[in-house]
Amino acid sequence: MNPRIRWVGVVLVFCFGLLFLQLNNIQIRQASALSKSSLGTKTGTATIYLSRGAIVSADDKILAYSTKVKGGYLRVYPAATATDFGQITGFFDVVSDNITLGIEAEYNQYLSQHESSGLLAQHEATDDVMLTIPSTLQADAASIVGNRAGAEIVALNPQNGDVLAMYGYPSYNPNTLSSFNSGSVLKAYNALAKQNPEPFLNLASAVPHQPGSTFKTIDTAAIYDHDPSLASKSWPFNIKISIKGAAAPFQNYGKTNCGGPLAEILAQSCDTAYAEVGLALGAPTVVGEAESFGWCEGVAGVCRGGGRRPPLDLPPSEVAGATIAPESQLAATPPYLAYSAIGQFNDSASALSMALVAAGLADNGKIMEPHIMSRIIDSDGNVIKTYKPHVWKQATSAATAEKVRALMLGVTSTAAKGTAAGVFTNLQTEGIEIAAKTGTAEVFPLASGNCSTYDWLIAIAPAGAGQTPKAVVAAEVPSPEGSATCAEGTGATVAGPLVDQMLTDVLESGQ
Amino acid sequence: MAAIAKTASRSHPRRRSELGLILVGIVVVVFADVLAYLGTYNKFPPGLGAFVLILVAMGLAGNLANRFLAPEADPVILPIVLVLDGLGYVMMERLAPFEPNSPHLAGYQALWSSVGLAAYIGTLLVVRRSRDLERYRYLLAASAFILLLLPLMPGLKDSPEVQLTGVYLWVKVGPVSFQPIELSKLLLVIFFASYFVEKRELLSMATNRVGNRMLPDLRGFGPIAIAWFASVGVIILERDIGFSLILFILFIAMLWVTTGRFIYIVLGLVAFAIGTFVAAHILSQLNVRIEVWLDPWKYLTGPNTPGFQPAIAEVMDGRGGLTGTGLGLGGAAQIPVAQSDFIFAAIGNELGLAGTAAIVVAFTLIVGYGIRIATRARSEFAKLTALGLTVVIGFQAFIIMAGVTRLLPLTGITLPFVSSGGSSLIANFILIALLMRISNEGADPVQTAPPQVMGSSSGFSPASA
Repeated sequence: MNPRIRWVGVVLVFCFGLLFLQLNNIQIRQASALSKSSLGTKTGTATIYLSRGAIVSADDKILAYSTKVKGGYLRVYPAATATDFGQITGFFDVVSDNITLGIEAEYNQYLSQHESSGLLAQHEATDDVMLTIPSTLQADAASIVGNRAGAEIVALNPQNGDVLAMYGYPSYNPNTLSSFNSGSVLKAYNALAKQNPEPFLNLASAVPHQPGSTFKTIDTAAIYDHDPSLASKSWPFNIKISIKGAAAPFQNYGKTNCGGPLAEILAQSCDTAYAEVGLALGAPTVVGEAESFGWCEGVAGVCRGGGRRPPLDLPPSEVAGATIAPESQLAATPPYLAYSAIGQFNDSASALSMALVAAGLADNGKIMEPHIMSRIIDSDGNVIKTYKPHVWKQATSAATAEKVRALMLGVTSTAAKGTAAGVFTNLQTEGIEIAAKTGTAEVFPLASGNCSTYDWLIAIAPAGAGQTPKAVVAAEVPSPEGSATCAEGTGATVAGPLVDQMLTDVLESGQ
Repeated sequence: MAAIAKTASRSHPRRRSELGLILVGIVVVVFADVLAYLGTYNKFPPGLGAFVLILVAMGLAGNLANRFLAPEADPVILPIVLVLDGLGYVMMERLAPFEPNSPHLAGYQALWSSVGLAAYIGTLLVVRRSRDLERYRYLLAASAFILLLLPLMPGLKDSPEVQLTGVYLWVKVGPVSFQPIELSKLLLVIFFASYFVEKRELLSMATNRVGNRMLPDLRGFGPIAIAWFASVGVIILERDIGFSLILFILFIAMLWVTTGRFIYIVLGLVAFAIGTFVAAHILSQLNVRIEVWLDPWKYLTGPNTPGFQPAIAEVMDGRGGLTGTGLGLGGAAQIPVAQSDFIFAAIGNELGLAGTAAIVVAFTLIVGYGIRIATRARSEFAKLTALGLTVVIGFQAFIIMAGVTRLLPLTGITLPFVSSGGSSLIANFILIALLMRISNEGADPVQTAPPQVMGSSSGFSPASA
């Protein structure tokens, strides 16, 4: 029996021998080929042993850099700007060795080490990414928003699409997630993930809300583009109207009695009148105009069939499309169309999307592609890529844009009893004319009967006739159910001061 | 304690060697633990003193148990097992932060290791002579088959693991899930050994002439048929290929060693080929496994596609190279099920060829000592049992390591002592205890039987002729 027992042993040892040969094959012979394979380049450990390029603000403040410490390269986000820019930079994820968010992800191919053809030889190099956002304006945006959970603010230069400030609360400090101690990284990550909303995505472009009456700017543009006869019509005064197919009457915000010519109903944000504007325009025109401003049919930021999104240079997960309910649905159900025309029902837009609507009205109907990167510089200091401004969409004609902008001046005018009268007093006394639109989207139905709103303001400055607007700002602030501000919370009172301060800072900075 | 150790070591030189080897192993494990902790958490392990104390306590417990219960048994096996077990714990500690669903991975591994060691000592205490086992042959066989079928019981087959993997290997009782097949493999070894020893004549005698060859009595094929159906049944009903392969190899190896008739190997291979062919047609999973084995890159279109596991395991092994990335510094966390089936790839990534070769050598040593124990055992039953236990642990280690490195198609089984999992740890500790028991008898000078004639060139040694 013993010889056979030994033979079994021989077979087993032979098997282990084969295994040893295969291990040599994989771990030595094929090792370099495997790490160069498609899977190999996306995974592995190399990244913590490699330096990354820096991310730099428009005013030359370093927002992220790599520093060599014992054990590899650690990503550092300087404390002064870390939290303000957390959602812009994203973070370098050592835990899963994966980079998915922010500029870190969008420009990873430049920031991470890559082969660069030098004069004499190829060498490994990293590039630095310069942003359009100055640290000063981003800091202003952060302090203006304060700790209003879910608030978003965006400031753009409408002439070239430069993002000047973009911030949503809560933000986070990416340094807490940049550590070789993966246990502490996970702990920090889980603690942050408990916040509502989760701070990781760039909230101002990633999280859409109902835009409320700010959508009336699109209705107004649709009137001039598709049915100019409506522009000279005087709309009947009403507190509430009944719409065919609706169970309850359609009622003005605050039960006001309003109506009149187009200038008046826009300045006073008359809901019943705009419901009738929407019904008069019809679903194809309303949806079509929204689409020409870059919106798409869908639900809450998810375009049907993939669809468009604002072409912001952040990872797709961080940029939600602005959406309106499908045309067929609105055409079949008039009450839905009426609510869509005042920015409710399934209308949904991020602060970025509304800033882009304002930008189109500010720049002769052209929406410039929004962007955060201004240029990329290699390790020798050469500019290897510069962002060239270009048009994303011709949303409407220059004439229409001019007319809508002129009507929007009424919103900030005391004489016209505009909803945002008094919000921009300081700027207006300096002689700066401001075109704006408020929005107060009521979230309903609420079981408790309490109010809950998304308060909006979009603004363009300077917006006088013949002037070239330098800045547009959009801000959204949720007033949660039962909060103190909610009772009288409107776009003007809640979001107004934020936009006023942001506009003042942008115009003062001369950006 | 020191005095006891001193007097005991004088009388048992093998136990003194064992203690020395265990202490060397503890040094290895402690170093690995410090490195893994530094790599993963970037700080010194906080409870290092307690960790060292626990390791020393476990080592001393095993060593002392051997001194009193199996003083003449082989001195190398237990130290190897403890190092593998320690390395497994270190890997669990390294992977724990990346397993949000099992935050106590390392703690459980430590707990099950202690329970496993207790089971080891308990087995040595209860099984004082290997022939005790022979007596309960049919009871053990019945228990083995009940354990095999347990995962298919209606009330028991709803464990989370079953839902996750679609493989019916787990049984959930209260809060604990376990794999009964791990224990059942031990019981089957004992049953086969005693059955074959008794029926050896019948199985070996060639009584039927087919053409110009003599074949054994057809009645002998009865058990083969039963084992074949059991294995293929396990494949089809419990959807697991790994264990059925082990059971079948075990059966054929023991049958051949008992009878010396090559025809059993031939018939066994043919039967298994047919069984696999039939199963491949019934189970699409098997077909996919084989195609993925041949070319995982073809089935690699995303993180959850069939080619991902083997492909990333290979890439990670490749990244490890000769010496690895260092414990805690590699990408082991990116390997799916790194704590269990794919632990070998995690080791390959972070410890390199040096680490994987060390694991292969460790199992080769266990197999080598197991074969030596089998050849030196005093009774045929003990020989066959030791052989069966060696085949089980050797092939289990080989099949999963070969699966992860794509030498064989992947079958999901644990790497003994290294992978996470209580049932595997406990069953394998018991397996080692039985080997140690037989080893002790083989080397025990007090026993009356004359020593084996070694290196006999005939097919049958005197004891088994």
